Amino acid sequence: MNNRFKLGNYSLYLMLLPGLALIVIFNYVPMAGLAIGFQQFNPTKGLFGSEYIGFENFKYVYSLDDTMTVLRNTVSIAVMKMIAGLIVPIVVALLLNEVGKAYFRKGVQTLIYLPHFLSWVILAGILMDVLSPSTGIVNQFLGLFGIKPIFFLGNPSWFQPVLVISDVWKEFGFNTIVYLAALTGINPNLYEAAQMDGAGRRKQTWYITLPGILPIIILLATLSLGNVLNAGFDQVFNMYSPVVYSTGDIIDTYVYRLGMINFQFGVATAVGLFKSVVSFVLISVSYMLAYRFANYRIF
Amino acid sequence: MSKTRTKPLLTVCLALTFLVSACSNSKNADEDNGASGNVSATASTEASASASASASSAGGTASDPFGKYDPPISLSTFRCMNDAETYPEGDSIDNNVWYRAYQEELGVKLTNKWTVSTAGTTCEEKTNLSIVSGDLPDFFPVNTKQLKTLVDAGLVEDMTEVFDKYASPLVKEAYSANNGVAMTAASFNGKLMAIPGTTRGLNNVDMVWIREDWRKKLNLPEPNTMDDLLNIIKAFVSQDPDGNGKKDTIGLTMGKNFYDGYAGLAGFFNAFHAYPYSSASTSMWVKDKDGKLVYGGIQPEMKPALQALQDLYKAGAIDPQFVVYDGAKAAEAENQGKAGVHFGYFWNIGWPIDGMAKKNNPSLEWKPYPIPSADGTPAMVQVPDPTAYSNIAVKKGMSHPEVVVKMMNMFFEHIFSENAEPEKYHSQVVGDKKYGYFNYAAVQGEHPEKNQIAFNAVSEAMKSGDTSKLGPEQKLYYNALKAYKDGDLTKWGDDRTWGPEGSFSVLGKYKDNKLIKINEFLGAPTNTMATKGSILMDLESKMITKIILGDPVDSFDQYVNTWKQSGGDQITKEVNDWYAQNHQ
Repeated sequence: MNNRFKLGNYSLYLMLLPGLALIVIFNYVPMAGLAIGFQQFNPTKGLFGSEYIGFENFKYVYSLDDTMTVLRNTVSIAVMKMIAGLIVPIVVALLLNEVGKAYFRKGVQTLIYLPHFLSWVILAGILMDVLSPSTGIVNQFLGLFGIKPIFFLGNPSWFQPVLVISDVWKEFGFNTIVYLAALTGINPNLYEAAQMDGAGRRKQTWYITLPGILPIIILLATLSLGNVLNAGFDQVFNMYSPVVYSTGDIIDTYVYRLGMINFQFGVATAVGLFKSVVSFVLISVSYMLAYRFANYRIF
Repeated sequence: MSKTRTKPLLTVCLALTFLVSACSNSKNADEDNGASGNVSATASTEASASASASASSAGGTASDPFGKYDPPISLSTFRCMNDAETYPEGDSIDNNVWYRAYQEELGVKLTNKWTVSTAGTTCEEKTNLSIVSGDLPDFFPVNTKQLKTLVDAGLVEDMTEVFDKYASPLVKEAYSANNGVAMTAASFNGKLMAIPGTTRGLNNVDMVWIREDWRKKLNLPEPNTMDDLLNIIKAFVSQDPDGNGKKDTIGLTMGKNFYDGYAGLAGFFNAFHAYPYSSASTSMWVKDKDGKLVYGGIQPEMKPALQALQDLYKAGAIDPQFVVYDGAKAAEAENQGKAGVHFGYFWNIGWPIDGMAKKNNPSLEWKPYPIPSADGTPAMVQVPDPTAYSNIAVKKGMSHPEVVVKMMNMFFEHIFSENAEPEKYHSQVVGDKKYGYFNYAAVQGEHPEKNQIAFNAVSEAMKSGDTSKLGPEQKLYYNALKAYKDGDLTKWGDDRTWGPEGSFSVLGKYKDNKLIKINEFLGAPTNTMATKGSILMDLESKMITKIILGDPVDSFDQYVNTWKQSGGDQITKEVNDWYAQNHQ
């Protein structure tokens, strides 16, 4: 008995090996490269030849005037995106779930999923036209109500909402599908029982549907917390301009301009490390909270 | 940062594909050089023939500029190509007329380790990656910044001797033009560390392109002073130049990159004797009255220019969307006939102005003008970097460093010499497709003033009617000009480039009157430039954008202080040290 189990375990461990090797080689070994963040890194001298300068790179980034603005923008854009990106798909999924006609539901599902596949390079070009103050369809529509044209992409106070709305529009279809999948997992008997007790549609949603998909909501929310310092490089980079730096410049675009391409790998690595540490702390905390309040755990 | 480097390059490539004109022939170079050019051409053909006939040992005859390798050698490189590049059926960047010629004429089997697009920063990043990982081919194109890194690390061959020994007279002549300025950026402590490729020369300077038909319609005077020009710009918005009864035109077309060769602002600032930064990260350094080098972008001359821009914006002559538009996007208004003035380079006829557009709209007319001056002193136009766009570096320890020089000789031989076959090696129209063969060549170069030389030759021939002195390609332009004169409107683009009102006539005026201001600093980026340079450029474009949009012009003073404190003073010191070292 014992022997057979052990044998079984060995072969399982053996099957685990390739995956483990991949993780070690591609995820753990490169961590040695974090040393670059503490070096005056010269690419041609390499990791071992470059001079160590301690926390100089971190101090340098900290000393720059714009760093605090950039950090604030990053967090505010990312948090707004996280909240909107959590609520919108849930609402849409619940609404779609109430729709009886399958072809309508499937049609909507496909349509809202489509923008997910377009890159920001393309979408930024489209948005520039759509939001144009002179020829854009949005401003022409607003014009019907006597509203003066708004230069959405060139106005610091409009830029963040534009980022958040366009990002949610692009991505909410994807998460909607996840929630719809979770909805199918709810036991139909519960709804029948609720109907017997005289619960209407709204009560059913509130007391059965929502609690039914709560674990998935918490899972997605927890995972998205790791992105609190990722405000979306491709999106911002393709849409921003010096006029909206005050509200639109984020860590990634700032580091990029600072000289990613000027061989300033030391500074870039230092910022990357900082972002990773913050994300790690946030994910750990949210995981603990999820465990405590929703009894959700991975391990 | 890299955007600033690749954008102009990309646009130039585009322009090159649109205009045969941009890549002309340096027949005049031969003329200047008298017989030697011709002798070299014939001698070299014989030499290469004899070399291949005698099947001499590997390496060919000693110091034969066209010697063939027997047995053949295999070499590798990498390429950055324009996405729009087209190839004849069956050909590719790995197998094309040039690669086959390398094999047949030089005995060099050339393979590309990789090929990426010139769009965005891909090329620069991929090249950086190759340098960092040490995965270098036998020879490869690099920019000055990358070359400096390679030289510091001792990863590239010293080319001084090889160049002296193997370069053909035609190549040597081309590289000694403009006081040999093309070589400056590839030279470190007097040693040539790479072969400079296609040069910027003195041609990439601003001029102002104006919708001539609009100007005439509104009875406005030619822009002889900056006030004239500002009036034209304002009138193009307020006086309905397109005559459709709607106020839907833009005065001055601008993009978000003020330093680009299309819809940039360098020319605008130059009119006020101000010299802000530009596409080259090392620019723009001018001499102050004490002979010290100072940065152009922080001088007080900037202020009146900024004020004028702000006034234009307030008058509604600038589309506020310029802040998000790149060149291509900014060009849309112009191509829809909604904009009439922009600052740009000679190749703007071709891109973004369609050289064929007059065929569909015969009343359309664009005319390039020299930059007018804001005061009595003639305006000078800035050349941030007359050195090479790219340099061909050879990996340290490569057994045949001379092969790159030979390939350069071959390029000149097949495209610029007496025996040139431009239809085979430069470009050709087959059916409705145009192939720019010259872009396939792994090593490319040119005489920095070849276009100007062609312009002079063609103008001369147009006057005298004597075409005997024209080279094969100059003849092409001549024929196009003749055809345009006889009413062929498809040749409008050639007329605007090579004709008496064309863009090269404007460049000629600059050169004849010595109105070109070359950056005083031509070295590789200094240490502080490398670490802080991009922040400072960022500051400057932010400052310019904000002042145009309405910040007080006096915020310029604050920018100057920040610039100095954020590394600018240190850079100034390094630049002056470089100058002292190189100009004793």
